[in-house]
Amino acid sequence: MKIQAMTLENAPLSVRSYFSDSTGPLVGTLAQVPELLQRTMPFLGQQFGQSALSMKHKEMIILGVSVLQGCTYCTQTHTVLAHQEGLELEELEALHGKIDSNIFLGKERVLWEYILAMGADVVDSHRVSIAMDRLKEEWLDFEIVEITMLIGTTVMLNRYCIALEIPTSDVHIKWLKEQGWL
Amino acid sequence: MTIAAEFSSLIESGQSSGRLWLYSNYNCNLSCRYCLTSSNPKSPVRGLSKEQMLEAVKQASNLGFTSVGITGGEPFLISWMPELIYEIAQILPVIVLTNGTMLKRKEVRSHLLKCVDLPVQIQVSVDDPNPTINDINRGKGSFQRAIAGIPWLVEHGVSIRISSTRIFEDSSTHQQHDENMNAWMVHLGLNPDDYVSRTMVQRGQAVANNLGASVEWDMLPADLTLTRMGAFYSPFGPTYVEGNLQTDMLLTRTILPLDIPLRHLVDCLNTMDSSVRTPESQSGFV
Repeated sequence: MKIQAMTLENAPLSVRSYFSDSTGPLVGTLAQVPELLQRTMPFLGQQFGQSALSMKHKEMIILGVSVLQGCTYCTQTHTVLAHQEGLELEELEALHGKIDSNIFLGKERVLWEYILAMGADVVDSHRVSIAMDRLKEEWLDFEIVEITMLIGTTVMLNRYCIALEIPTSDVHIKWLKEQGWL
Repeated sequence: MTIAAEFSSLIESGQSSGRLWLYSNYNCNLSCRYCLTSSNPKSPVRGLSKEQMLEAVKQASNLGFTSVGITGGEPFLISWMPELIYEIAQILPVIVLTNGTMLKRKEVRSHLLKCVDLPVQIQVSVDDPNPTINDINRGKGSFQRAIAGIPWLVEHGVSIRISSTRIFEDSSTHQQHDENMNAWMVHLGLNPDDYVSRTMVQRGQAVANNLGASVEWDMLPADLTLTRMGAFYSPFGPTYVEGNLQTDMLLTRTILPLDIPLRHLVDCLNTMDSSVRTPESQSGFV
């Protein structure tokens, strides 16, 4: 890891409530700037936690974007979390690009096309516009706002985790090995 | 309620002294064995700029702070420090913590003379009137170097305070030490009331040398402290152990505008159990 992650032992006074014995490196590194962590955690909690958008679709978005962005930490971590949220093996494999994505149908099909358009390294506004038009046929406006924000936030975190070389937890690595992902 | 009003009520209730501490630099020409900041001649400067310090003091004045403390490292290693003290003193009372070794310098003296009628106090660290005892932790020859500049400053009306940083096994030994210090101060022409006995805290270099008392953060003065590395809960916070910053008392990396770190300090004080902190419990940490 490129930046020292803070732990419960040296956690800054103003953000100590975010720390426990199992605090991960994402929080640990963000705590280098306590006032940033204080603002960021509620923001991430709102987007990654329970909301009007289902957790399954959220994990589909996060994992799909993370694979496209090439973020090892987010891809590995959210392969586990997506499984926990009920994504089937073939859905996980499609999000990893290992099998054809035509398993996604209806609402999920247009969502997947939107993820591909928005999660690309360089965003093509014409392609996004087409994907958005299709998305609007299946999803409500407020859902599209959440989807779009979640894609953007995932890209942000992907780049953060890539740059800082955030390591995947041992527990997740163990599960991925047991399931044949590694 | 504004942040200034909230802060003022915390000062009134004794939760904060109202002093803003500025760590001007981390390098020092001495290498004390208990130094909070593990400062020595080879330490990185890690300095605040003159502009940052002056701006912080201006904002502090508007936010209800009642005084300023400047510490290091050795502040007088910075060429513009005497001039800055003069400028700060026209805004808020200021105390400068020094090892005293630079006080014979002509350029330091000339600026301090300009401060004689301003609320400026120079706090010189002397641990014992016996040079041998003093030099155990502060380095050989440090006693003579520390006191060499004092008589001239006293003679010219510069306000001097002496601080000793020690830890004692019992109160009678501590009391005897204080009496010895007072007698020595009178001999030097100093007012014995201008003396502070500081408890040696096990942070910074004191950790490496296994010196001092282990103290929890909530027993320390809640005095906002600005450094190059951020804002801290107490001047005992921004310490270094083996080159690593101790972050447990870090509030924010943002130091200006001052209301941002002050907001975090006030929030900490509002959420903690104030009963564990009394003026008496903090008296050794001034």
